[in-house]
Amino acid sequence: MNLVSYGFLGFLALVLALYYVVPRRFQWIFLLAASCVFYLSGGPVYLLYPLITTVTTWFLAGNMGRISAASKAHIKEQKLDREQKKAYQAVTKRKLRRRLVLGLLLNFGILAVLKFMNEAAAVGWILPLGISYYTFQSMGYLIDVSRGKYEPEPSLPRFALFVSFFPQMVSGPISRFDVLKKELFSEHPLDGQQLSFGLQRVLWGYFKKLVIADRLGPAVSMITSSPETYGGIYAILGMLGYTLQLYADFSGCMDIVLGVSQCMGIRLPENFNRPFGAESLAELWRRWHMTLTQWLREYIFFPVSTSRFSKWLSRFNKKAPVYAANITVWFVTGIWHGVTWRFVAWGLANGVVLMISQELTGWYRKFHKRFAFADSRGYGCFRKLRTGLLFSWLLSFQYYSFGMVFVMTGSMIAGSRIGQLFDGSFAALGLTGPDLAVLAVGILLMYLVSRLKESKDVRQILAEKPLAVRYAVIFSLFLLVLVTGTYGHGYDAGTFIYNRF
Amino acid sequence: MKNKRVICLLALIVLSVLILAGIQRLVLPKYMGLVVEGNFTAEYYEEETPHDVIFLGNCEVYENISPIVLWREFGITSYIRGNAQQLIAQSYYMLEDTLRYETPKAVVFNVAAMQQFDQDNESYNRMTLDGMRWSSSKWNAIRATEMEDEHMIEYIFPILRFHSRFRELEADDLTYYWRRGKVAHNGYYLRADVRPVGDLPAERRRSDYSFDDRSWEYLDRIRQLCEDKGIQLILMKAPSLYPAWYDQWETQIEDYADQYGLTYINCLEAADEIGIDFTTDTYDAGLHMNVYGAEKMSEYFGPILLQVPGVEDRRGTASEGNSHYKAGLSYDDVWREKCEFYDAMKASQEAEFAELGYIKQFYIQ
Repeated sequence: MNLVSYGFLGFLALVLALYYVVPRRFQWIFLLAASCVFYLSGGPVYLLYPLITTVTTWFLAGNMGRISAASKAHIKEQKLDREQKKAYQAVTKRKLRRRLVLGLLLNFGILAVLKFMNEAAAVGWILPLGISYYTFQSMGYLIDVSRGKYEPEPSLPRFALFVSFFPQMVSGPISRFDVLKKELFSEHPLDGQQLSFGLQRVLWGYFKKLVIADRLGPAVSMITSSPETYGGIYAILGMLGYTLQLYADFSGCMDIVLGVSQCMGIRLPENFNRPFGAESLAELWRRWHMTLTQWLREYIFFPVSTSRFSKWLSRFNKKAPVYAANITVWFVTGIWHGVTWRFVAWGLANGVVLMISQELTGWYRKFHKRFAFADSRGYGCFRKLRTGLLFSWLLSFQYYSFGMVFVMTGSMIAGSRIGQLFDGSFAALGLTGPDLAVLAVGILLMYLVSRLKESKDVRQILAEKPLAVRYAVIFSLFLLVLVTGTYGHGYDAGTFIYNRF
Repeated sequence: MKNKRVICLLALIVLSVLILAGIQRLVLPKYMGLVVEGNFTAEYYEEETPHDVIFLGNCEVYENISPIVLWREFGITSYIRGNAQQLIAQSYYMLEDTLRYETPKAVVFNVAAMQQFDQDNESYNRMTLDGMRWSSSKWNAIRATEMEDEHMIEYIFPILRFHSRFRELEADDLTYYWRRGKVAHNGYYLRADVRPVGDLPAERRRSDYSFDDRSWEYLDRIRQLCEDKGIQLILMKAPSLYPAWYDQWETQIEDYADQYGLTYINCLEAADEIGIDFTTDTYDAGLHMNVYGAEKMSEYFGPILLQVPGVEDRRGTASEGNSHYKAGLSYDDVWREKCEFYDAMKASQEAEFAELGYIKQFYIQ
């Protein structure tokens, strides 16, 4: 079931109505049932892979929990001396590691095989919705249990809800068990404001997705898939359009997911924090797809940078472990987005740019000390713009081949002429005057909301206004989505770009 | 205080509904230009008197029979409930819908629709079904014929389907915002231009000439419904030269008519008897009749229809009432208006065609 479908809206209305009718202690059970229905709507086979992940992860985590508990009890009961304790703990650790590796191999194996066979070998196997998200989330849980961060969940149905909670299953955010369990398994009485705020956020998500992202989609796709036709100023438009589309699509999806959860009183972690307000690429990545970045930092960056191999590398260069971890993280990021060389190149290009920035940190500091204007507001704006452009340019590795990125960069710099926009080729992109007007209004609205969010939640600001103002704002937004949204017959709206990851 | 809040909320809900209804009316296609078929279905509900004969089918009906001539020459009251590529399932539900308002004496069904059960263009579904009043018949017609990417909710709230027309709104959308003009003559689509038959595409050989089982099922349902209501069902094949009407299809329909004792008239075979001249009586090179061909068809059909028990010359009489129609309305008065509208449109098109060689409204540059 797609988040942009009449079916989903009907399903959501029904779930919300029943959620507050069932006794509160059964709310989580109802959510589990709803999540199963959500996933089963695609066909029984779609439930198979999440079920394998759920059962194997729950079983292995439970097993690890029992081994850890038995180990602790044994040490306590037997009154072992320091050496014996160390030896016994090492044995326990090996047992835990074996189970962890088994779980990781099995689940990442399923993910890798399915993604590789579908994307690289194009065999057309069924790829369950959000497989990357629930696999990463479950494996984060398994690693945390193996590290003893928290106790394993004894109840299989409860753990199943953690893996399959329907709003977040499709595109994340990737949550941690210790945080999400408090939200999922508490009782949630009906809270009018939470419901209203949630619905407003859902509406805002649809606005970003249907009015902006999907309107840009066909034109951007035409430009980025035909570099031989669309060079010069079109390559610049394609680059900016792709970034805008990706942001509106993914952050719109997150608004829907977080809004739906909020309607049920469940708070999920944020995935975006005004990424285009970042003044450096590193900062932008801390604000973009935040839960994935945190996952990669915690479960890949830190383990790799402290591994034996990194220690060995540090003999050659002090920073080598960090760079090795950095490259690993960006390689995984690339592969996570798509099993093609383009995504690998995009991931590694980000890694390389970040390493260069890291190396130049000293120079930046000197520059800021020497020139006072570097601390001015204007220079801050320049840095934001520069960061946004750099991020956009790096994204071009996703849709151009490696060599073509540099050819098109040359074309953007040397071959751009305003006149290209008026030679008739712009009309072929399918964006009419009303489309451009809607896009302009949409992007402006998105910018204004983003600025307002700097100080306070926009919905909170709105809640403090008189009823007539609230009505006018929310109903106007609804009309914008209803009338100018690219949905319904003749449109291919629906799939979110990040659903395929 | 609480009452004030409730009143405020109610007022906002009413205001929202009004705004939504207003926008929906604006973006709905008005079908007052090149394509007028989208108005045919709804025009039926404006009728003031009942009809003895109902024609059902696709373009082979609504372009080939003139109810005005049937009235003028024979006093037969008739209506065509047909639309562009109207599928047999839609014809069945259209008949069911018609029977809510009246019980005709005869139903004439054009069998060309037997050859295609599934819709291949969503626009045709919309033109046929949007104008239908809401009832279980409309619901079932949508369910039976909707295409894969169509949704019931888009029929219930057409703004969901037509919202994208905000990009292409034109003067007609304002001109006909409150009320659309009348475009058909008791369901008949009048064309007074002439385009003689030229080279027709070669007949394609088919691997299987059997009609779809579902088409047979709906033909059975039409027949059964007519039997239940005491209506005589007549099958016809209009004199369209293209698309081809194969001998194998003809045999199947003949056998069906024989099996159930139905009258079947193949006007294609009777074209000479009817007096159709394909150099002057078609406006699109043999696919459909123009007004001259349709008038000849009606003159041929009139005597056949008068043989049906209950189908009478209604001239000089007044209508009988039912739950939908008022009793005592003079048929002459009602049909005089229709005839005047018909004559005026025909004369106007003839003048335009004589002057320009085409009719502006239907001219594609």
